[in-house]
Amino acid sequence: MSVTSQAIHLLAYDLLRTRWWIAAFSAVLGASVVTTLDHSRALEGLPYLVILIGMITAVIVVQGDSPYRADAFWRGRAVHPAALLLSKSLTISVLFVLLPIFLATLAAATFGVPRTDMARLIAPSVPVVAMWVVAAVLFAMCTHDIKSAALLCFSTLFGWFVLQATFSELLPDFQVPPFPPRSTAVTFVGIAAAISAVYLGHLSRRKAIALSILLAAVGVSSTMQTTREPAAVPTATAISELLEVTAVSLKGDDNFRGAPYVRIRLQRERPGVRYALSNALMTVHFAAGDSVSVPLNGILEHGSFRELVTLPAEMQWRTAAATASANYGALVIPMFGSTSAFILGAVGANGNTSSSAIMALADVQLVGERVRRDSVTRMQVHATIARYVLEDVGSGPFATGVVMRQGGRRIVVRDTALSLERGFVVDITSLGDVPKFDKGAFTELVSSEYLFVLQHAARAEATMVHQQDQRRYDGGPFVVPGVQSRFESVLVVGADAIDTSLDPTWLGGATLRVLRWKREGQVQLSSAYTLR
Amino acid sequence: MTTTQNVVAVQGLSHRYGQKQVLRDLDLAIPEGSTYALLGANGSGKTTLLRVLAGIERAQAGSVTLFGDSVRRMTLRQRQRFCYVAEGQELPTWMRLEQMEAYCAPLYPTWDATLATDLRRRFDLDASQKIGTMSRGQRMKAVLLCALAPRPRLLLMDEPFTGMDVGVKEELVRGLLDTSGEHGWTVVVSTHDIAEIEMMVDWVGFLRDGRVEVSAPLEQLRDGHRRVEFTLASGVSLPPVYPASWLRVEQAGQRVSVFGRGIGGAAIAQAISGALLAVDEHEVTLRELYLALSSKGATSVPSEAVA
Repeated sequence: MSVTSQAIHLLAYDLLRTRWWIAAFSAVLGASVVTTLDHSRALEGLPYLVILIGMITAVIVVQGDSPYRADAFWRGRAVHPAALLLSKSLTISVLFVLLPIFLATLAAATFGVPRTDMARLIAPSVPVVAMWVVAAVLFAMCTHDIKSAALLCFSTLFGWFVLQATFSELLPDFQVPPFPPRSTAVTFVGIAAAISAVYLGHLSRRKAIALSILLAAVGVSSTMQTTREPAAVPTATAISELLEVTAVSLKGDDNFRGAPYVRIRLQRERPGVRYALSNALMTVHFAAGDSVSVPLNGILEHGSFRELVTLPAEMQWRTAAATASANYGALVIPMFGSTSAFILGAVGANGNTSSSAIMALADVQLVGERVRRDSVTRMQVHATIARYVLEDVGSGPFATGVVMRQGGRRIVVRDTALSLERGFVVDITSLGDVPKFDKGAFTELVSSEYLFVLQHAARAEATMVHQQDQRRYDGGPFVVPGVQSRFESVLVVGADAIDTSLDPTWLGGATLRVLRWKREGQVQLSSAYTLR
Repeated sequence: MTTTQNVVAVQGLSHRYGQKQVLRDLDLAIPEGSTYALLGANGSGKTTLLRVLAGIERAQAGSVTLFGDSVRRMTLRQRQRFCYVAEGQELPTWMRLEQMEAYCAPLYPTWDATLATDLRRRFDLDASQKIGTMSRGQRMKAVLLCALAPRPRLLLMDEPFTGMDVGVKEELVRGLLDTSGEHGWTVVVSTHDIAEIEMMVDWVGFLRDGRVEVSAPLEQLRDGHRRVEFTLASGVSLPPVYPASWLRVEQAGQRVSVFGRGIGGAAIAQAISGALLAVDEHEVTLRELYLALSSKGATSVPSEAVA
């Protein structure tokens, strides 16, 4: 029996040993996939259960033939350590990589994702899965029995859940950054090598654990470092607009709850273009010659304080608000809400969307006191402006069950029972086409990317509807890779913008047109102002 | 005995756990076909030595060979030549005995299914019983079955009989003796159950403080030692300092038992300068040898011990 065939022999026994756990894991994983596809709200906690069962299964696999215990059963048998290592690696790969990938592929196929896109959709989940599994293996190495290891897995998962819940409460738009490929690979390979060395008897368990913790710390700090540094996003060549600061208040006023703010206006707006501001930083120069930089609470204006979305003229809209945009040669539809006007209070001085923003508040207060005391000669405003252009996703009859596809996303009209209270319901399920984490700005939710317009061709009328309720759903690493987000309710609030009522007759002849803000690029802008 | 005839050859083996030196420059040779009892007090290094031999612990200094091959990087083929059984060894409790046999069988090209069936019958084991539901004795029998069925050329056993009742010990020793003796395998057994293994061992090694103090055939040790019991004549007493050949002395009133090297009634009478009454000379047991060799110099045991 060669090492390879011995490894396969041991693998078969690992599968036999963990058969009930595998069955539970598969059942929960399958249920998780199904509920993801079905958009069931009741089972949102399933991904955590999937992870927990998966981790415990990994622990059983490792501790069943402990690599470091002298009294392990395999020690007295003719089992080559390399065969044991190979068999454990194969078992874990089969259970936690191949099985989820298989189910994800099935799910993606159900979604109608092209085969050519499968690998691109599924690949990002592999490092996430690998990290959880590596954590489970480490826990198995740190402990002497399955109960202790399971408790450690549960505690870690619970801590992660609390951390995520806290983050989503404090920073609703914050998304956990994906693992940077290079540091993730180094951390993963390093820890895997340390574990392998224990199996092969080249490294003691304690040294391997210490080394793994060190590597994990380096990996996490590397991730945070990468998050802090500006992303190398291609600069938009088309951005030629000027940044104009129209109002500054270092002491704050009632409009912004007393917080210092800067009102910024972008010139030369064009239809079908939207801007997002981030990393706004103000440097205040004092008469004494020194300067202080503080992050800003600011607001980005689009033409006027009331936010407008400007649609390209070639789309030939006709609405009651058409005259308002005559100067642009396009139609302008008013839109309530704050899609692109936002408070930057949570943006830290270095641009990262982390809790450091809370610390920045102290800086603001310090500057406020200083401004009251000393004279300010000059100030500079720096900001990152990202530009989005409007993309026509498609249109279809406004009817329940209509499906539109865009890349890996599926847009389904779930319910057209329209009312002012409830609106109509649209599901957008994304498979993979998730915006890359932008280290210098908020990552926008999928929901804020889309615009919905109801148009009645025969009457040459249209109205924009505004989403009212949105819900993110993160499938978790063990669930269909790439299923990242969805939102489901769109409420018509723009009815007063046209001279017609959205009665059943109007809606009966209506078409739903879906538009999407596509990120075109970003540019760093700065502007200096001398105060009188 | 030359190296080629030795299954186990250890030279200058040292091993420590942290600050604790467990084995010190240990030398050992175990001839092929022998049944070797590794004896010594708790903490003398028996378990560590067996683990090093089995490749579980890596030797920190010195050379260790099994069948002439270093245990430092054993190939699969080298591993297939021996089995290791230890008290307290973790067992796959979720398996049935037949599953455990099926697990072990492919690991050894020499697995003898007939022998396995025979041992199962001899040990009165149920193939469909789960290991987790077996008694301690049954578990050890199952382990022994899986260790003997591959027909290993070397069987390393660390305290295999601990905590078992006399009947089970006897059964295990019989099974071991019959099987290994019949096929000429080498067995190295570390145990405190000296009386039980006496009938099966033919070589004995005594470990003390991480070194092998004595390693010799049991018969050779027995031939050199005697236990002499006698009654002191009236007015005669034992000398205040015992001769060096007296390893252990027990006294109850006038009745005395002396265990020693190369002693006899005449030599003792000469040593105490007096007449001896009712002299009985006995062959020593392994237990007596162990007690004598594990003590430092001659010891005098209180009278109650003899009584």
